Amino acid sequence: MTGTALTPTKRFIRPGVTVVRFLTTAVDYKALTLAELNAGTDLQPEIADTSGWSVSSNLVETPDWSSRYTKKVAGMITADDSSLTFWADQDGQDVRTLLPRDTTGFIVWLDGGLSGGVMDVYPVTVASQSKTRTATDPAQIVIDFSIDEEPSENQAIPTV
Amino acid sequence: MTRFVEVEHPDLPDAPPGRVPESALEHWKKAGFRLVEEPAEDPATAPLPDGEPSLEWHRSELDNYAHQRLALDTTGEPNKAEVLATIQAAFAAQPDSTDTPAAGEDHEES
Repeated sequence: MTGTALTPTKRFIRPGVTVVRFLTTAVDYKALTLAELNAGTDLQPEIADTSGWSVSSNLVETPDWSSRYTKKVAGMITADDSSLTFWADQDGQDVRTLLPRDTTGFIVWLDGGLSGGVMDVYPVTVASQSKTRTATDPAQIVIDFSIDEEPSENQAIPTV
Repeated sequence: MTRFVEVEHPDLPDAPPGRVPESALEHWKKAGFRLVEEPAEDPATAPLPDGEPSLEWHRSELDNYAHQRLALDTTGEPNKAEVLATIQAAFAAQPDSTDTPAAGEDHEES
């Protein structure tokens, strides 16, 4: 007897595939339109690194006296502290002008690219900009984001 | 402190205005956004600066002065100097400089 196998995956690494887009406005971020997506700014050409951008839930113990086993239920859902690290420009013409502190909008992760089928949308506010200053590494700017609302995960990428 | 401005996109008529930093306005304009214009102040009720009109005033203040005191429309004049000259000519043409603004309608010339 055999089970049903998962659909084989088309595996990939992110550089050259994943698109990260910043939108300044949207009617409903849980149902973006193609026009809204097209009005965004592609960030991935200047992204050096990322951190966070995942949603998790803690587990809450709910023991009772029926057995020694400690049962658990899913608890509160949270998004990790999230940031994007960009390359800095010697003349200051870089992400710092686009995303200063208190800028609001939406970070859209198109993990498989524009034709990747699904995307994640994070409503964000820029919490801070910090510059890395070391002697030998190229200069970078880290943008820290607060995620203001529940992210919309695995949203279908609009085609029309 | 960062200044933010509101922008809108012609392809997104239902979307609320985006709030973008003024430093990135040119970037967003390249993406098709345009600045949300603030509604112009009503020239009939807009407050005027103290004193006599001069080139120190803003253009809109001179236009509003001409509208309120002389019932003149100077918005078509090319610059502040021309607006000021029109105002001064209108006052000079009045027999009594204390005339009501409505009286200026009969002396509209530049």
